[in-house]
Amino acid sequence: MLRQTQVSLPVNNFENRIQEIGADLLEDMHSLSSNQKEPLTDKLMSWSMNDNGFKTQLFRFVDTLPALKNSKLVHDYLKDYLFQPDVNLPAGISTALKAGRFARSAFAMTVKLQVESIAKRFIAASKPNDLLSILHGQWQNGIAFSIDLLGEECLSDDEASEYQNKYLELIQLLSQETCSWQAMTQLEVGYNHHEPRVNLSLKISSLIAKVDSINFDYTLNSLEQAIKPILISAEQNNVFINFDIESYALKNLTIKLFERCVTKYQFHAGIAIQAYLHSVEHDIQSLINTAAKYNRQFTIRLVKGAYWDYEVINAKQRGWPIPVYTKKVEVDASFERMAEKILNQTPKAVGQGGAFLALGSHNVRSISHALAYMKELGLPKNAIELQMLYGMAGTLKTAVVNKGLRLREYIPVGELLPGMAYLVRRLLENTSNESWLHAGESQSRSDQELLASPHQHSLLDEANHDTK
Amino acid sequence: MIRNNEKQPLVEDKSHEAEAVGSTRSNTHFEFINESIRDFSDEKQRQQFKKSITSIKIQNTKHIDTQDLDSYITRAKKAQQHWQATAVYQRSAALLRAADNITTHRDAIAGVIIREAGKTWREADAEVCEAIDFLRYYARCAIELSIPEILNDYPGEFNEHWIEPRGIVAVIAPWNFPLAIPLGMTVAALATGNAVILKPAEQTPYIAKMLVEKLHQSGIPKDILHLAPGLGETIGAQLVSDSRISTIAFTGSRQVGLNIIKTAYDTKPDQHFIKRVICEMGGKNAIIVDDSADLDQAIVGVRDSAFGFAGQKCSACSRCIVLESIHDSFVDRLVAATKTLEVGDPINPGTDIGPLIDQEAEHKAQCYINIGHAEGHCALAMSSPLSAEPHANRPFVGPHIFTGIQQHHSLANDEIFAPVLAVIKAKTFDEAIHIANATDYKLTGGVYTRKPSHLTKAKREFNVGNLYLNRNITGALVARQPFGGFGLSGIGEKAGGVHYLRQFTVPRVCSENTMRRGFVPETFDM
Repeated sequence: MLRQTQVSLPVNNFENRIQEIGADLLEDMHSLSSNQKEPLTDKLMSWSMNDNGFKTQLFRFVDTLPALKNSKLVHDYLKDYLFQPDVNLPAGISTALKAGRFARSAFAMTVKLQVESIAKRFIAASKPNDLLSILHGQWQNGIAFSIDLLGEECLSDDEASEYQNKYLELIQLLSQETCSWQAMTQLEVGYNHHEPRVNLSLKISSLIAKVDSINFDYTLNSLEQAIKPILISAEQNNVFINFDIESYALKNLTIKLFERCVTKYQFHAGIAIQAYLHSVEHDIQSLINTAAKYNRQFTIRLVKGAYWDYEVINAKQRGWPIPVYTKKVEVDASFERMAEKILNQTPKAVGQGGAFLALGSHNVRSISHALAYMKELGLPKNAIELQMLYGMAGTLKTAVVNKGLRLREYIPVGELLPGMAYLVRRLLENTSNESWLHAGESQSRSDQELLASPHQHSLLDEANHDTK
Repeated sequence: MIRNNEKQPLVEDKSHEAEAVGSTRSNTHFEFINESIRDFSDEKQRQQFKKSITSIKIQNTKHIDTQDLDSYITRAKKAQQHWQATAVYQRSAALLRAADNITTHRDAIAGVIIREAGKTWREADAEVCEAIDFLRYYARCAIELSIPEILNDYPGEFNEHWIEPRGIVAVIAPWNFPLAIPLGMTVAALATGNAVILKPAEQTPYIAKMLVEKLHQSGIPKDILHLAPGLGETIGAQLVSDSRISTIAFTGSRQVGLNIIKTAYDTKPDQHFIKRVICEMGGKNAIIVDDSADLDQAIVGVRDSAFGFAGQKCSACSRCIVLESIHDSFVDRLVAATKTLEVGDPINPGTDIGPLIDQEAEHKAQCYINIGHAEGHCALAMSSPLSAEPHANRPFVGPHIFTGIQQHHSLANDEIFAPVLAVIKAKTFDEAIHIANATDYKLTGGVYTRKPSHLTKAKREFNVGNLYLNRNITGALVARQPFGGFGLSGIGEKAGGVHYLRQFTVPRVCSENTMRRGFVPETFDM
C-alpha cells in the first residue's frame, strides 16, 4: 500500500505508535464500569441479532410503527410482519401474539413503548426545553454538540421555508441558552482557532424542494438564496454551520455550494466528506484549493459514509459505476489516507487558510491512526475534533474525553415519525456483525483484530505469529 | 446474404456472441443488461448532452400517397422471402449494429425527441436507452427462438417444432414514445424474418425517419423496411385492409385500436390467411395509497407517475385512490409538491413538464378539466408559462388535481392523456382495490403500503398487466418489466418480454416416422 504523505515516515514505527495509542484507549474502555455500556439489551434486539429474516421484518415494522395510531393496529401489523414465511419466531413472541384480546393489546403497547424508548436513545427530544437540558448535561460531561434536524423529506416550498425557520429559531434559542454555560477550554479552544458553542448540521435537501443536479447552476443559486439568511444569522450569532453530505447524486452540489458560501460569508464553516467514495481524494483537494485561494479556515468532518447500501444498489440498478469502495477494509484504508491529507492542511497560525479535521468515527483503530499521525506532525491535541453519534459508543466517548480530546456529539432532534429512517439505520448498525462498535463493545474480538491495519491484510497474520 | 453497401464491422464477432447465446435453450432466459441512462449529476455528461441537443433541427417529412404504399408492399413481399432465408445470426447482427449506431449518437437522437415530441431531458434520454434495449434484446431473443425444438423422444419417430415468419408486418406507431415503441415493434418483426411497413404517428415522422435510416445503415435491406408517413385515415386505413399484410402491430388509442381489430379480421376473398393484430391501447391507471404508506415516497411516486411527460403515457397514473384516514393530509402535500414542478420548454434542463403534443390534445385536456370542475373539487390548477409557448410551438397545460371524484364519474373512467389526476377516497384497502379494478382498462397499477398482507392481496387481486409496489408506475424497462395489459388495454404478449417475438411467427411441427422395415437408426441412448 503506498502511503501518500508529505512527511516520509518509517512505516513500522508509525504503525507501532498507532497500536500503542489504540491499546491504551481500549484498556481505558475496558476499565470503565460496565454499566456505562449500552448494548441493546432489549429482547427484541437480541433476537434480531440471531435471525436475519426476523431482523428484516422487525426493522420494517419499526419503520412503519409511527404510522400506526392505536394498539389494535400495532398488534395487527406486528402479526402481519412476523407471521411471514422465512421468519423464525422466538417462542415468547409467538405466544404473545396469539394471546387473548386484553393480553394482545397489552403486548402491542409494550412493543410500542420499547421501540420508543430505544428511539429516545438515539434521537434527542423534540421539545426545545427537553433538548436544552440534554445539551447542557452533555456539555458538563465535556461533550459538545452538533444538532441535526430530523424531518420528513422536503417536497414543497412551504416545507422548505418551515425548515429554514426551524434553523433560524434554533440559532436564536441555542445562542441565548448557551451563553450562560460555564467555559470549557477543552471544547472551545481549538488549535489556532476558536470553536463556537452552537453547532448545527444541515442537509441541502432540506433547503429547497427540488434539489436536482440536472439543472446545476440554477439549483446552486436557489440553494444559496435559501441558505443565505441562515449563514448571515450564524455569522451574527457566532454559530458553526456544518454542511452534511447525503447521496452521491447530491455530492457535487453540496461541495460547490459550500465552496461558494465560504468565499462569500464569514461564518464558522464545516463540511462532511465521505471516505467511501472513490472521488474523495479529488473532493478534498478541491476544498483545500479553495481554502488556500481565499485564505479561509474551515473544518472537514471526515466520515466513512452512511449510504453504502443505497449507493451500491442504486448504481447497480442503473448500470452506473459504483461510486463507493465495496470492501470495508478499503473504506477504512481510504479513511486513514484522507485523515492524513486533511491533517497536513491544518493551519499553522491564527487566520491562516486551511482545513481542520473533525473525525467522525466510532472505530478505535481509525481514531488512533489520526492521533498517531498528529504526533508525527507535531500537532497538539486540540488540532483535531472527534465526532460520534448520540446514544452510541458510551465508553469510548468517556475514554477520549478523559484524554483531554475535544469530542462533539451529532445529535438528531425531531419527532419520532420522521426519525424512524434514522433509527432503523442506527439499529442496523448496532445489530450488525460488521460493525466495529458492536465488536468492540461486546468484546467478541481481540484487541489485535480490532486495531488491525486496513493497509496490510497480512498484518493480522504477522501479529498472530509474533512472539514478542 | 445481406446485400448492402455498408461495411460490416464486427459481424463475425457479434454472430459468435449470438451463437454462444443461442446454443442452449433454457427456461432461465439469458441475462440481459439494460443500456444505462445518463447520470446528469455528472458535469461532463450534462455538458455533452446539452451540446448535442441544442443544434438539432427538425425537418419536414413528406407524406406518401396510396400508390407509393402499394409499391412498397409489392417490393416488401418480393424481398421478404430472401430475408426469411437469411440466417438468423445475420439478421440479429444487423440489429446489434443498429444498437451500436444509435448508442454512438444517443444524445443527438434524444435531442430530436425533445424537439419533436416535447420530452424533457431525462424522459428523452430514457427513451433512447429503451430503443437500444429493444434492438439488443430482440436480436438475442430471435436467435434463441430460431433453434428448432425436439419434442418427446419416442423410438421410431422424430418430432420437431420450429417457427417461421408471418410475412409483411404493418407497424402503426404512436407519438408518445416516437422512437422506442415503433422501433420495438419493427425490430420484433424484422428479427423473426418479416418485412415491415412502418407508419409513424403524424406528429412525429422525423424521428421515425431517423430510426429507419439507422436500420438501413446497419444492414437491414431497403425493401425489407419501408417508412410510410401519412395520415391514419388514408395510409393507416389502407395498410390495415391490404390483403397482403399478414400482421398489424399497433400502439395507440383504444378507439383506433378497436377499429383496426374490426377491419383486420374482416377477411377478403383474395386473402389466403387470417390477419393477426397485436394491440396496445391505453390505461386508466390507479395508484392506491394506504394509511401505512411511506408518504415521502408515495407523494413523489404519484406526482411523477401522473405528470411525467405531461401525463401523455399509457402507463401514467390518472387515478389516485387514497384511504380516508390520510386523504386530506396526503392531498395537501401532493398539491404542494406538484407546485414545485417547472412547466416550460423541455430544451431547458430544469423543465419537469413540457407541452402537450398538439392543439387537439389541449382541447381534450381542457374539456376534461371542465368536467373535473363539475364532478369534483379542483385542488390544483397550475397555469403554464406564457413565455414558453412561442419557443416550444405547442400548447401547454399545467398539472391539475381533482378531489371528490367518484367511481361513476368520467374522470374516474376515461383516459385523458394529459396532466389531470383524479383523487378518489376509499374507506378500506379492499374498497380501494375494488375501485381500482372498476375500469375497462387493465394496464398498470401501483400500491404504496408497508403492510405485508396488503402487498400480497394487491398481487392477487389488483388486476393489471404491470403492477408496481412501493414505486412509481411508469418507465418499464425491457426484460425487467415486460410491458402490456389486458381487458380493453390491449391484446398480445408483453413488449420487451421473452414471448413477444412469437406473435410475429407461424409455429410448425413435423413428425417423421423413422422406422423402416422394423428397425430405426441407432441413437446414442437406446
